[in-house]
Parts: sequence; structure tokens; C-alpha cells
Amino acid sequence: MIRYEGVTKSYGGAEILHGVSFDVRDGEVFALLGPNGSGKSTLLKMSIALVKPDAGRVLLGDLDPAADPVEARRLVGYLPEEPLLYESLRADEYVRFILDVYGLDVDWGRVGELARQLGLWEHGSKLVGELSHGNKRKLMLLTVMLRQPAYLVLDEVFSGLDPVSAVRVRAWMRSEADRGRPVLFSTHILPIAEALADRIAIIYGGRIVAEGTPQELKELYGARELEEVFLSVTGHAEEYEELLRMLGEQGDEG
Amino acid sequence: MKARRIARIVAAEAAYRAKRRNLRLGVAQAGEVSAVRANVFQGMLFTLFSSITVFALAFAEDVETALLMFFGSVAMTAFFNIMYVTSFTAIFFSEELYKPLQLLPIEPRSLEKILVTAYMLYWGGLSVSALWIPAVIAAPLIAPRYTAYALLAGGAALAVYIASTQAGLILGSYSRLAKSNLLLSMASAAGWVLLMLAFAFLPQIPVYLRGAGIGLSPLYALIPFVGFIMAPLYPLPAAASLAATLAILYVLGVKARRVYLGEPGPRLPQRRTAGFRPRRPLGRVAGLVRKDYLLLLREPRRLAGVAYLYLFPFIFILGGALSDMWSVIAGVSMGVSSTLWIYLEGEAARHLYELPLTFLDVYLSKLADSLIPLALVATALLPLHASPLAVLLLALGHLSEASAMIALTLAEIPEEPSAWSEAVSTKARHVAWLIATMALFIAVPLAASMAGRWYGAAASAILAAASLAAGAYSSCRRGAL
Repeated sequence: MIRYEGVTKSYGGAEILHGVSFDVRDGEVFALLGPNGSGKSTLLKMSIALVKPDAGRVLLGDLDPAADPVEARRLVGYLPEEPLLYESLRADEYVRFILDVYGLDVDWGRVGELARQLGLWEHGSKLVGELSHGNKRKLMLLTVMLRQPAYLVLDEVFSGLDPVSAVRVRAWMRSEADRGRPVLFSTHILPIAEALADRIAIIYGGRIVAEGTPQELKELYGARELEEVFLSVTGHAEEYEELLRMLGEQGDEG
Repeated sequence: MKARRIARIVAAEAAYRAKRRNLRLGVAQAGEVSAVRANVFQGMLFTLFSSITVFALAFAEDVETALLMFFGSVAMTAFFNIMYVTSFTAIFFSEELYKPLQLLPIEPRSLEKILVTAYMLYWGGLSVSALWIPAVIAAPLIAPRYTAYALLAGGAALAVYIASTQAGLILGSYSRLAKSNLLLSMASAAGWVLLMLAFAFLPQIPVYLRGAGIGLSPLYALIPFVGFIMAPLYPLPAAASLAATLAILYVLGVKARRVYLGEPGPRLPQRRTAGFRPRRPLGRVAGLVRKDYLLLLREPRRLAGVAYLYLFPFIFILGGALSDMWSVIAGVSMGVSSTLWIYLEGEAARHLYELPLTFLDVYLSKLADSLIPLALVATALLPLHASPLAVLLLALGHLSEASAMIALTLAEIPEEPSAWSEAVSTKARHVAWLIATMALFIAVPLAASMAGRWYGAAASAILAAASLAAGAYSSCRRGAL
């Protein structure tokens, strides 16, 4: 289980997280949603102690990442929003480097198989700097997949992925959860969150403003789509209605 | 005005990107770019060099001596200009700064103006002209008998200045290719080393020529760029030199135009095999070392910097056997290159924080990085009449300096990973550390060796052990990255 307990964080005097608490259970896919700058990435970074909470704590099972970052980084498969990789390494050299750091000796047939699934195979000998943004993210995902970590924490996991790769990544996330691993991810693509996540938390203004299964949230807010729930809890419901009305009027005129 | 404003932004961005990679050579400052600041201080320094030439000229007894001074001045112009301009264009191309310019509605002619202005005004390229302009102006007053030669030398320096600017632009545009082509990277690194060695040995050339009894010859007047300075002595060969110089300038001009136009540089046909090649697994620290070497081999300038420092013992040995004193100095000087392994990480250093690594892992890997070339140098030195004790002193000096500088630099790395790629420590502090550690690791063994050769070795060994222990302890204390 990944547990956030009353996590608070300030930057430059401004508090961006106010006592955030939620759990990601074993075998569960959990989506963290929120507008830009709401603190999603900060929360996810705390899982490997890239950022430490000012108050409260994060737990990976019994392990506090802030107390043992090295062990946390060994246990968590973390995908950052912005891939910062060694641009002068070739893609296959990068994979080997990551496996060396984790002390893993994997079957390279498996590397090739996963690379093919992600559409990376033909880019194996390219310099990382020559890869597109999406392929850089796929390369990072490939190393996470190879490691088979106990926890998955994936920031904007679908950003830059083509539809085929996105479907494969969704299937992989689900299969990892089915193996009993907690899977925490953030995304701005609400239909994917709705289709994939067992539970969802929406963070706004540094607080969790809604949490539950997609169905529970829709029922609670009387919404047909998750999008309506999101806009409602982030205070944009009226604006949304107005926009829908305007679009409707334009459609009628057309 | 518009071109100058854009040039200023281009120079500032190039300076910023170079600073992030710790590759700054030009004098442009990231953020606040000023043509005055970029050129004045350096211009004054070069004027001083130029003044030395002029004063020496006053005492030159014959034309031969005066000519050697002019040749030296022209060579210095070429050296500094090519160093500066290549550092600018390498950043310009490798960081793809031409891309935003291509998005703007700018005429190709203006692009040329922008690039030249950015280099000349804001990168300090203009200051290089101070190497020869004061000499050309003052020479007729101080040494009137060499006025004709001085004017011709001025022309030669101008030609070299233009040619080296164009050549630097062309070479810089190859920087992207060097990353993906090992041969090109090695060739480029070798070029840098040769350039640095040429500069270091420049003052020795007249001594060598005189020692070898090589005097003036019409053949020298045939050499492009410098030969035509000898026009009063050998008019016909000098005319040929001038013609060759103009032809080279024309060819370089045509080639450089492509760079001015902001094209993304040449491409080599690549024979790539698709797929992920299996690679031998290594341990954590060895994996970090392999990664560092792969990165270094694709950065010719840094590679040249390391190679140059590790050539020191061979340079010292050229003057006879490697003495104990020079062994210590060479070893410590080689150890200075060790911080390069930290800066090599660049922006990707932030990625290390996502991995299960400790500061001790990084310390050990960087130390191992610097030990590999040391082992090669030590192995190569033994058959070259270096005594085992000299090699031991060299190795101990290297270990002490490398361990101390790596540990001190790592101690400065911030807690939060956002700023490692920025300068880890201030330049002043870094220089202070260098001076302090070099003084300690050189002076103590040398002082001890006054009491006997083996006392010097014992002092070196104690210092190396202390430096290693302190480095490992301070890295251990910091724990995880």
C-alpha cells in the first residue's frame, strides 16, 4: 500500500499541499487528477523522496521514503513528468545503465520484446537526444517495466504516447495491479482515468476535494461524465455549462 | 538594431546553456550580456600580450627575430580566435539554438549578421583583435625599421582572424555529428589536443629553429597566411602565399555561409542496426563508470581537456627523466581534471536522484573514472625511463588531488535536485580549493623529500590515504542522493 498521511509542503512561503491524505491499496489502480500546478507531481515525487514533506509522511508499506530514499527508489517504479535522460547515450546503453544501477541482469530477449511492444525497437541504437519526447518517455517506461518494481508511481504517464502505446501501457498497468501491486498515476486525460482507475482522487488548491470510484464520484455529483465531476469540484461547473450552451447554440446555427 | 538585439539574446542563451554544461569559454555572461564586459577585460589582457611583442621588437637585432615575433602573434590570433568561435558555434549547434531563429521571419543576410554580432560583440570575439591591432599601430613608432613587416603582419593577422572565425564556425557545426560518430569525436578531440599543445609549445619554436640552425628561407614565404609577411625579402614566393591565402579565405567563406544561414550542419551517412544490443552487465559503480566514459567519448572538448592534462608527464619526460618533483606536480595536475567527471553529468544529473544511489556511489565512480587514465599513463611511463618511485609519486599525487576535488565538489551539491547542472560551487571557491589542495599535495611531499627521497614518497602516501578517507567519509555522511 502507498499511504499519504497529512502531507504538507510549502515552497517559498506558499503552502501548496495542505494535509493531503489518501491510500493506494495493493492491487489497485489509483488516478490522481487535478489542474496544472495543483501539487500532483510534488505528491508523486514524495514517493521516492525527491521532495520531502514539511509535515505528515508518505509510507510504502512500512517504509518512509524520506527516511530511506535509496530503498524507496529501489522499490518504486517512478516515471517523471519530464524525462531528463543522458542525451548522449544510445537507447540500449541507457537501458543497460539503469539495469546496472539496479543490479539486474535481464534476458535481452525480454528487452527486445518489450521494446517492440512499445514501438521502440527500431530506435535502440539511436542517441537518446535524437528520440522524440514520446519515445523518451517510452524508454523510461521500458526500464520500469523491466525492473518489475513493487510500487508504480507514474506521473502524466500517457503524455506524448501514441494511441497504440497508450493502450499497451494501460494493459500493463492493469496487469501489474492484478499482480497485487499498487499503481498510482496522474493524468489530464479524464476518459482514460475513468476507464482505467479503480479509484480516483481529485486535488485542487493543495487539498483532496473528491475521492472514490469513478461511479461513486459521478453519483455523488449527479454527473454523467467524470469531466463534469472534475469541473464541479474545481469550481468550473458554471463556466462549463455556459461553454456547453454556447457550443450548442453554435451547432444549432451551423 | 533588431539584429543586434537578437544577437544579444542568442549570446546570452548560448552562455546560459554553456554554463549549465560547465563548458563556458567565451566571456559572455549568462543573463546579463554586455558587449563591453565581454570584450574589455580580455581585450586589455591581449593588448598586454601585444605590447610585449612590440617592446621585444624594439630589441630585435635582425629581421629573422622580428619575423618570428610576428609569426607568433599571428599564431596566437588563430589559436584564441578558433578556441572562442568554436566554443560558441559548438553550443549554438549542439543546443539547437538555430531552431528558434529559423521560426522567426529573418532574412538569411540578417542571420549572418546576428551570428557574427553575437560572437564578436557578446562572446568576446572582438577582443582577440587586441592581439595584433596595438602591435601594428605601435610597431612603426617603436621599431620603424620593421614598419613594412608590421603592416604586412597586420594583414596576415586580419586574414587569420577572418579565416579562423570561418573555420571555427564550420568546425563548430560538426559538434552534433561528433556525438553519434566515435571516429569524428576522437578526431575532434585530437584536434583540440594538438591546438592546445601547439599553443603550449609556440614559444619553443624559435628556440628550436635557432638551435637546429634553420635560418630564413624563401620556402617559408610560400606558407599561406604568414608567408607574405616576408614580401620585402622574397617578393615572388610572398605573392604566391598571398594568392593561396585569398583562395583559402574564399573557400572557407563559401563553406561558412552554410553555417551563417543557420542550417543544422552536415550529416554523415549512418549505418545503424535496429534493436537493443545486449550489453554485458556490470555492478552499480562500474555501470556508472561505463556511462561516464560513453558520455566523455561523445564530448570531444572535454575528452581533449582530460587527454591534455594526462599528457603532462610525457611532456615533462621529454626534457629528460621524470624527476620526483615533476612527478608530484604532474600527478596533482592530472588530478585537477577529476571534477570534469561530475560536470559531465550535465542536466541529466537530476535523473540520478531518481535512482537508488548514494553520494558514496557517485564519489567512488568519479574516483574510478579518474583512475583509469592514470593507470594507462603509469603503464606507459615505466618503459620511458621513469623510475618506479617517480610513477608512484605521480599516482599518489593524482589520487590525493582527485579524491579531494571530487569530495569537495560533491559536498557542494544541493539537497534538492533542481540545480546540480548549474555551477555546483562558485568559481572563486572552486579556484580557492584548487590552489589550496594543489599547494598542499605538492608542497608537503617536496618539503619532505628534502630529508630524503623516500620521505617524500611517505608524505605523499599519507596525504593520499588521508584524502581518500576524508572523501569517503564526507560522501558517506551525505547518504542518499
